[in-house]
Amino acid sequence: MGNIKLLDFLTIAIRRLWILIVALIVCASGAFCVCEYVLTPVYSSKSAIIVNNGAVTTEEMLNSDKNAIANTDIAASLNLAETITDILKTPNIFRKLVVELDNEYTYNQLKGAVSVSRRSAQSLFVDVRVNHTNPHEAMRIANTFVKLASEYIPEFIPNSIAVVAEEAVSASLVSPRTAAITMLSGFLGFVVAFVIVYIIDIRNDFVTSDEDFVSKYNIPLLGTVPDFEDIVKAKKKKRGFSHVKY
Amino acid sequence: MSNTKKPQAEANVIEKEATLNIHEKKVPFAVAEAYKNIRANIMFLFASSETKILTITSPVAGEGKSTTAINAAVAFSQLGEKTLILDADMRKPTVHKKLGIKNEVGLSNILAGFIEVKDCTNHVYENLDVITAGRTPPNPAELLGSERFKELLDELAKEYKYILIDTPPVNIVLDALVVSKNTSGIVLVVRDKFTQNEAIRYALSTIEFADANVLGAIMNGANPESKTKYNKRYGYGRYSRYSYRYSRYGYGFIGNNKDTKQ
Repeated sequence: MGNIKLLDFLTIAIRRLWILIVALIVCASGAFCVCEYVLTPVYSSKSAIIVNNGAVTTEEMLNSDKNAIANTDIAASLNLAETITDILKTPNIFRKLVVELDNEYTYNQLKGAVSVSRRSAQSLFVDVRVNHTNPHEAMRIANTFVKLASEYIPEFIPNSIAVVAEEAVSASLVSPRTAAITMLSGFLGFVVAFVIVYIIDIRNDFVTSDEDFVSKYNIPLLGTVPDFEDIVKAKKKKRGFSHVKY
Repeated sequence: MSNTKKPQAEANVIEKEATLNIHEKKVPFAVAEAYKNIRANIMFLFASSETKILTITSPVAGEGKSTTAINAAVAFSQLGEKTLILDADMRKPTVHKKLGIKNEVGLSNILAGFIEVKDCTNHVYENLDVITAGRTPPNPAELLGSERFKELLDELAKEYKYILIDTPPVNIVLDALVVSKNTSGIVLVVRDKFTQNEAIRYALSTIEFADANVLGAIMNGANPESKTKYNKRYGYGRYSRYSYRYSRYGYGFIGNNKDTKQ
């Protein structure tokens, strides 16, 4: 293949620009149609609980100046939050959730839909996210889970407090990300089309024009002879000469 | 076909196999002008030489070298200069087909010593003669490299101002290189969007290795609407309109008046 020059890429891209644009439009349109009409949308709803170790009431924790709370208590609560996050991932809580939801969902379905995580390493908030194709169901499950957790945690860890801090009041669309997928598909279509065009161009390697010939070879071009049929077609295209017979 | 006298052998016409050349009315003005341009450029190459003998070849088959040789020869003959087309492609001759003449005797017979030149020279148009390839011999390259071929060219050079020799593709057989030893040089014919660059490079390297002289190249099948600087010189649309007007007065349109010199 020899040295590949950037100019060669640009030349090929410009020469075959219409193919690349068509590929971009086709791929982007196809991805858009798939996202809008084929894929099932998935919504996510979030709720949260706040935990502490019981040394300070929740009201004090939320309303008091933090200087009034001992650092050791905060540290203990942070460790507790970490532990509670792990507890909320255990099978027991999900079995209880199945019962609480009147067996509308299986254990595996809820295990796959619900995710529990700490908001941050320095936070006492534990977030619960639920993904569902129905936004209302996502909210219902998220609220049910945190309510269940607020009751389950004190039973599991005595003297601990878990309070529902945020209820799920809305659900946002998380899948499919139509805009991103459409743009990415268009871009990939453009790139793939370019690669194919480039490979075909390299393989064909024909003389493409008189300028192309002269630029490549150090011999004089004595003349160029147009194609007979192309002349006839070109003549017919021009206005006023369609009646001329050659 | 011209009705001018034929002092040499009869030229039997096979009309159904003949193809258009720039002597015919039907050929577009742009094509005829292209060959005139080629003629002018070749003439510039040989400003001082007496007889110009050209080897016409191409990298591979199908680029139109025989058609190019014929039309370029017609263009030269229209200057009033005696011109000869010599079909040296004895393996797959096509010149006789394109001109619609028979190929019972020709170059191979001359080189084998079976016939004289005057007995197989076909007079096709005014100032234009053709020696076809003849029957395919078992040893074309040897015949073309023989002393007899050199003597033949010397003999023909006394009578003709321009001799265009159609040869086989240089990438396939080396006949063109053998012929070029006794000619002014090689004209390479290529075709737009048909000839591969690899084939051209191979042809040029083969010619260079044989220490032959490349006079230049001719590109066939160019896009008439191409906006390259080489095509802009023509302005095909503009000049063809003038040609259409002038032809009504009998001016300048090749084929409209066979006796008109260009």
